[in-house]
Amino acid sequence: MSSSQPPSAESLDEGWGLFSDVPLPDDEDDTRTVQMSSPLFKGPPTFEEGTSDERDTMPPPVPVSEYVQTMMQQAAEDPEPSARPLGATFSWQGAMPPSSRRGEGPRAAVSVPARRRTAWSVPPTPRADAVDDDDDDDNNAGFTLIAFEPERLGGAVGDVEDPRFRDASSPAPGFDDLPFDDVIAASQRASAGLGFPTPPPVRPSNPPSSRREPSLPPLFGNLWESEPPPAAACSTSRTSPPTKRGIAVSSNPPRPQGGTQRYGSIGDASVQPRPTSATRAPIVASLPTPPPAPADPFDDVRELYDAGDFRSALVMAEALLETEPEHVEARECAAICRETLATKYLSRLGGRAKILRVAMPPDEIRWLSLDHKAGFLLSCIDGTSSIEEVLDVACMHEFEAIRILHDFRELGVIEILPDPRASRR
Amino acid sequence: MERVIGIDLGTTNSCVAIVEDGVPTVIPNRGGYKTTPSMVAITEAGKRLVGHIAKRQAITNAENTVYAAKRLIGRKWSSPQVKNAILTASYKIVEGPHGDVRIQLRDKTYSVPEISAMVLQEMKLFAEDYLSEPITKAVITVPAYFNDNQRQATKDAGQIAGLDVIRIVNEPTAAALAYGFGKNVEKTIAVFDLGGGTFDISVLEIGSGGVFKVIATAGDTFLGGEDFDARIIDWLVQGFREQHNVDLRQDRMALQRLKDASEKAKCELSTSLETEINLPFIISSNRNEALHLQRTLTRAELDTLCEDLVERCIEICKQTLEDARLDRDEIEDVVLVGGMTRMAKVQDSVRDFFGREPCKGVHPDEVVALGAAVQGAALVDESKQMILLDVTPHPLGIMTFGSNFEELIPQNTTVPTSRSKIFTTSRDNQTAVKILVMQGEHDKATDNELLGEFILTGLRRAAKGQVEIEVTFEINSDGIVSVSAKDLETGQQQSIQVTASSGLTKEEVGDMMESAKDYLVERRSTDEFEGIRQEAEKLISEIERMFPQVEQIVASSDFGRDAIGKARGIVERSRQAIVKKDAAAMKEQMESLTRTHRMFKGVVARPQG
Ligand SMILES: Nc1ncnc2c1ncn2[C@@H]1O[C@H](COP(=O)(O)OP(=O)(O)O)[C@@H](O)[C@H]1O
Ligand SMILES: [Mg+2]
Repeated sequence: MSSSQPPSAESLDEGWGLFSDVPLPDDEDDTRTVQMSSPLFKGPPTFEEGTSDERDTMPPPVPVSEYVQTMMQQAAEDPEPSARPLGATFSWQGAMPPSSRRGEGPRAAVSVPARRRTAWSVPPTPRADAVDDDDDDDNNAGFTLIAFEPERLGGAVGDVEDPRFRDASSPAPGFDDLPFDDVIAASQRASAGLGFPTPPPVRPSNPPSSRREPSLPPLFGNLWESEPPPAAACSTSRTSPPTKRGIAVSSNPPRPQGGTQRYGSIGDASVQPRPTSATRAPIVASLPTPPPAPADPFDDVRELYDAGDFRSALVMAEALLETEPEHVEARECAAICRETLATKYLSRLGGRAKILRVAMPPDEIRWLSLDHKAGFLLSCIDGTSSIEEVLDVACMHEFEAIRILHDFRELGVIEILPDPRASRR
Repeated sequence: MERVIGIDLGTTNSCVAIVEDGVPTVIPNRGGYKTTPSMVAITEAGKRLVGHIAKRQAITNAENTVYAAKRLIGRKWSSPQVKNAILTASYKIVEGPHGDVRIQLRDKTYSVPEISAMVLQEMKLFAEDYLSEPITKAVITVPAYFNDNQRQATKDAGQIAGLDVIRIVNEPTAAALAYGFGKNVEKTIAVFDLGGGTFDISVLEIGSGGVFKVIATAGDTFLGGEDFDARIIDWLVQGFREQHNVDLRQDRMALQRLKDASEKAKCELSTSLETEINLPFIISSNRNEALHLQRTLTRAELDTLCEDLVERCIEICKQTLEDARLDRDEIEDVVLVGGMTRMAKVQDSVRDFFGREPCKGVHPDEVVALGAAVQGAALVDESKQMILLDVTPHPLGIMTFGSNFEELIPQNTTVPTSRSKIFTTSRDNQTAVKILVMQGEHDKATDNELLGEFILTGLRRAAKGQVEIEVTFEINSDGIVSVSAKDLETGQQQSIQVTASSGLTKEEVGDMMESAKDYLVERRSTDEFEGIRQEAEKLISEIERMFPQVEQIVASSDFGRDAIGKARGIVERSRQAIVKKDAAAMKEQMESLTRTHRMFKGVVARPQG
């Protein structure tokens, strides 16, 4: 690739002109999230189509991934949803996207019925975000690395910030910075995934002021650097899902209620506190008490899914499948979540061709709480093998392996080598 | 002049070499290693893995990983070796349509030559990558004891892999060549080859004119480096059990790590006196705690652990010399071959037994391939002095009255050759004779291998012993054996050509060759796509990273806004192409992507005022 010299103003303008010979993307078809309804899901989505003006400010280009097509086929069998125009419906479920990138203000034009849960929308395919300044993230469900930092959580825990209700006038990142699944998911951050005792739903009441940058603990700095600060400690409540196949969630031992804890847990292993010097206020203490259990256990899954919190949705779906292995919706949801997350994680890891290297000294790695599967995967990382090769030799479900690799990277256990050699297979 | 590669298609590892400017050189694989595990696996997703990557999952995906296919190549389903393999192999061995052996991997069965071809194809690719030219000719080595069927099956494997196998060479012969023997030396040497799964001892008589006669060969096809690894694994497992009361063998992942670590430790101990084995999170305890394995192994401990294995090798050497009625001091040189001979203990034992310092190259696991390359170069270059002549590996003959074996061509006869013998009828008024062509060392014909049979009819009715029939064996330079029988009275003649059978028909080999080619084409396009995809993803991610900044900078002008939209379109179309794996569309987008990237960088780099 050429190009590092900044062009002069003139040449730049000339350069921009070059775009004119490139056909504009067919926004309606290409760059929208496509709404899909699974015939397995009860109701069709009921969002109204936005205005054309609004389309310009619609979410960032979101490719229609293969599985969307699969879902489309499913949806096609369902005449109702497939008849609906594409591009207008999103899975925000009554939530507002954050202010648009051009500052048009809130998406008033999208009139969305409050909290409908019927849509089974296909999540946007994650973008190949540059790994380090990727500021979208699902929450940390299933990956219990926690640094309790109240200031990261929007001050007082009760003082919840939900980006969905962000005041348009307040400075907010462009939409492109926050793929909406994650924006929405931000509100779930720190709830299900972190294994708190079931907090009740909290509707956000106060508009947020602004995003806060996290203070970064040096060791696991990567993790927080690559994440937006949780907008709310517990805007949505979940029954904490149990640990399932390597996703360590709330079946972990109860969190200590005070002091700062940092946990690294990948896989089935139980969480072990890792000594650290910093001390922070406990967050768990101020969490509200759990609500009564929901009637339909799948509601929770659906809600998380709709909110774009695929990781938690997956954990919940898997937990549900553990008791009801034949639950078709749960199985389907789990599959979609896995696929979505896998794509997202892979793109964060920079793609399958990237070569991984262990970045943490062995004695530090020992402090992590890894299960033997994660330990095995870690042993496959040799500084010469590509992600693809590691996945080939991992001999575990690909999603699981990808998730662990992703988590490893977030933890700073591994790093991606800058220059991948050509893929070898 | 076309270049010829030499391939050591080993039981555990394969190696490819070429003569470059007169110097035999080993060609490294893409990972930079000079040997490549002769392993093939099919992943759950149906992907083919060959070499190191297959080895790394050999235990965790044991049912679908083929190792030591060489023990099966060219063997009949009914052979004791196959029966034995069925009991010990982790992959599924099934009977083929011609009484041959097939291997089942996931939902497909493969012939053994096909499996070997996957390894050979990989070796061929390494060579082509390295030399930047297509390679079609190869010399492949086989153990000295391989019979015609095994040699033919190896040739078939080469053909399936798209190689014209111009010569099959005995491994000890190739090794001797690599060590420089064969150049006007007349010597008797011993080749001590301890590889990963097999041990071979061969005594060669190197004659003037480049004739290498294998005067004795013996070994153990189940004795090699793997056994040494197993000793270390046992030691680790036992120690761990004592410490934690957990059996590591129960878990495949743990076992895979143990195996890899044991082999690594063993190799390290060839150069150092002590090594640490460190396997964190190897297993979870009963109380669900992650357990770590950490132990130190010394060379002395390893020597003790493996003492009997080395002794077994020496014992076989002793027996072989006795059988060949050779004295130790008749052996003028001892050549070390095989990765395991790097172990000091092995070298010491060989030295002690033969009473002389063995010739050891730096890389004993590469010498066979080097020798094959030397032979390959000599075969195509007439100016080369060295002509290595093939010898028949086993005696050839026919069955005579009373189930006796009558040898016509003795073992180690240089080919091409032709020998005749006159036989007579064994019964009165016998009008036809049946010629049973056989190969083997046994006097009793039935103990030898039947290669083919034919009948010569129309003989004159006469008392037994009256009618004379001349039987001629002819072996051409390709090793094809023709046998003819001629009624000396009438001149009437019958003949057959004995072509060794690999267990595959010509058509099957042809079909397998086609599918191997198809696989290659598919893989090439995948690789090409992968290359573009990587590049595109890199650009996309950089462009996306710059989006907010660029947007901010150009927000003020409508013009810029338009450009942003277009840039998004480009990114989006590229992404679509990636998702759809549409190589053509992706190539199309690359230019726009590159331009967008350049543009963005320009905007971002422009000083902001
Ligand atoms: N440095 C070393 N020290 C000890 N053993 C080694 C060393 N390098 C390779 N080996 C062993 O040699 C064996 C492979 O020998 P090789 O000649 O390549 O195999 P084969 O001829 O059976 O295909 C393996 O068991 C390997 O562990
Ligand atoms: Mg060998």
